[in-house]
Amino acid sequence: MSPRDTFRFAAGALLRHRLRSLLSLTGVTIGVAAVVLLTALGEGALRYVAGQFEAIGSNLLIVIPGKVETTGGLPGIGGAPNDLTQADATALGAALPTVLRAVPVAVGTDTVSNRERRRQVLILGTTEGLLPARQLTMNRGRFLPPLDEGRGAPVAVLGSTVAQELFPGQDPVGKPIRVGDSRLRVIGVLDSKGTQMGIAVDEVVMVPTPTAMALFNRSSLFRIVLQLAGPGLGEVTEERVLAIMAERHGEEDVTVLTQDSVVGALSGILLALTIALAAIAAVSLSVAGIGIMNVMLVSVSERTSEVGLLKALGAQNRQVLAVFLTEAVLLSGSGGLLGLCLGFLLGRGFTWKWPDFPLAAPPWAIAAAFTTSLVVGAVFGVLPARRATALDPIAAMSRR
Amino acid sequence: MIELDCISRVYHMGGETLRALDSVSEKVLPGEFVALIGPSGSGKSTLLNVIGCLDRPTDGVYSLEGHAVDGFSDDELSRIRRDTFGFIFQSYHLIPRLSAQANVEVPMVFAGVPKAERARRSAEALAAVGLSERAKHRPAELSGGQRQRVAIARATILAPRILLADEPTGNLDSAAGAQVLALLDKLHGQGLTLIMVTHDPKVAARAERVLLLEDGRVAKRLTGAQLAAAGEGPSGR
Repeated sequence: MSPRDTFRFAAGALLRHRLRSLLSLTGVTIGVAAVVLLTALGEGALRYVAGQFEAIGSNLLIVIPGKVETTGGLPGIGGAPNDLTQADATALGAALPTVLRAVPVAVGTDTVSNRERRRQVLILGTTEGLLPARQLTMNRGRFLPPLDEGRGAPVAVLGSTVAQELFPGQDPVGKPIRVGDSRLRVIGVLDSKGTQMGIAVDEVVMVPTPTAMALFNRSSLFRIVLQLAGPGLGEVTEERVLAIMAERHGEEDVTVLTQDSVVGALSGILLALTIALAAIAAVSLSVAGIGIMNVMLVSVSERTSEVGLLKALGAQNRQVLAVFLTEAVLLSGSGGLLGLCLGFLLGRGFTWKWPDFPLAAPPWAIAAAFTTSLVVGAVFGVLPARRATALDPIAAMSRR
Repeated sequence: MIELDCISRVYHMGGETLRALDSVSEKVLPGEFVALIGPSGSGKSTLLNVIGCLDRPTDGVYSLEGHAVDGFSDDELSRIRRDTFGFIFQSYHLIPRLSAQANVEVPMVFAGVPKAERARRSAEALAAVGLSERAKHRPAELSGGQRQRVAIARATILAPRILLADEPTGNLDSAAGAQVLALLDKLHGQGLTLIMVTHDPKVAARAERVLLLEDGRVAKRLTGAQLAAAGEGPSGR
C-alpha cells in the first residue's frame, strides 16, 4: 500500500464523516486556542509587571543620606547624617565616568494653587537630568533648567493630572501658580505616565532643586539619582560613590540603592507569576489533551467493525494503523493549526480592545499546544485502532 | 484443499461456556461447492469463519493447502485471506462512505495494486456483476441485491481460490437472491471452491455436498441431489 493510497484512504474517511470530523476538529481547535490565549494572558501579565519595573528607569543607582549601620533605623530616617548637597551631586557626576548623569532630588509637600483652585501635592526639586533618567516625556513646554547651584529659578513643571485640575481646559504654560508663599511660573507639562515606583508622576509638581530647598527650608537632598552609562556598572560605581562620599564628608554616611536590589525584592512576585503562568498552561493543555483524547477515542472506537472488515479483506495490521494514524494526524494537526489561528485572532481582538496590555503567547506554549494536540490526537487515534486490530476480524466486525 | 481435524471453537461468556464447534473433521477439495446448513446456533457461521481465518479454532488442526494455520501470525493470516479467500456476508459489509467502485477497489488498495490498474479491474468486475452503471453510487443508493453484487465483485477482485459466503441471499427477495446465486454458480463454474452458509434448503440443494450441522457437530452429510430429493429438507428455519 503506497503512502499516497494511505493518505487518500484516510482523507476520504475524514471527508465522508464530515460532522464527526468537524466535531473532533472543533475539540482540538478550542483546546489549542485556549492554551494559546491563556498563556498569552499569563505572559502578558508577567510582561506588564516587568514593564512597570523598566519604567522606573534603566540602570539607576540611588544615593540616600544616612547609613543603616550608623543610625540603626531605616536609611534616611532618624540619626543626624551629614547633608547630601547639590555639590555632592555635581561632584559625583564629574568624578565618575560610569555615571551618565547625577540628578539631585529634594522632596516636600505643599499646597499649589491657581487662584481659587488649590491642591496639596508632592513637590520634587530636581534638574533637567530627571527627564531622561526616569524616562519621562514632555507634553508641552520645556522641562527644568540644568543643575543650578544658585538661587534657583521661580519656575515649575506640572504633572498631567495637576495641570488638568489647576487649569481645566487651558494651557498652563506661561501662567503663574502659587506654591506655599512663592509665585512660580509654569514652563511645562509632563506626559501622563501613571505610577512609577510608588510615585504618581502625574500628580507631582517639579521645581528646580534650590527652589525646593528654599521652599521647604531644607539643607539636605532627599536623594541623588545616578544614571549609569550602561548595564553591569552598578557594583563598580557603588564602590566609587561610597569612596567619594566618604572623602567629601569625612565618613561613610550614605547608602547606595541599586535597581537590582529593588527588582530583587520584587522578584518573588515575578517568580509567582511565572509559576502561575506555567500552571495555567499545564491545566489548559491537559484539558485540551483530554478533550482531544475523548473525541479520538469515540470516533475511532465506533469504527472497530471497519477495522475488522479491512482485515478480512486482507489488510495487514500496520496498514490499518497507518491509515488511522494518518487520519488522526490530519485531524489533530489541522485542528491544532486552526486553534493557533483562532488563538491569535482572539488575541488580536483582545489587544484591539485593551491595547495597553502586552498580550503575548510565549513560543514554548505555542509549540507545546501544537505538539500536544498532535501527539495526543495521534496516540488516542491509534490506540483504539490498535485494540481493534488485535481482535480476530470476525470479533471486530461484530462490534458496532 | 481445506482439511479440518477435530476443530472446536469454544466461547466463554460470563462464566458460561458455549461450544460453537465440537470436534468437526472435514475435507473440502478444490473446486467443490459445499453448503453448510443447520438451525441457528448450530455453528455453521462459526465453521465458515474458522475456514476463512476470520476466527481461530480453540482446538484441533486446520490445514490450508497443506499448511497448518494455527502457527501463523496475524499478518500472515491477513495475507492468506487476501490471496486465498473472497468473503460475501449476509449484511454486505460495504464501506458506506465509498462508492461501489471504491468498495471493490479496497482489497487492491491494501494489496498495493497501482491506481490505474485498480480502476481498470474494478470496472471489469462491476461489469461482470452487471453494475457498470452504478459504479459511482454509494451503498446507500443501491438496492440490497445490487449491494450484494458489489460485495461479490469485491470478493473476487484479487482472484481468490476459495469463495466463502455467509447467507448471501439472507436479506434479499427471491428475484435479487436468484441473481446473486446465478453469479455464484457462474464463479463456481469457473473453478472456484465455494462454501456457503444458508438456511434455505432450496439454495443448499444447488451445492454438490451439503453438511447439516447441529450443536456444533456435523450431523449429516448429503449430496445436493439427496437434499433436493428429500423435499422436506432438514430441520432448518
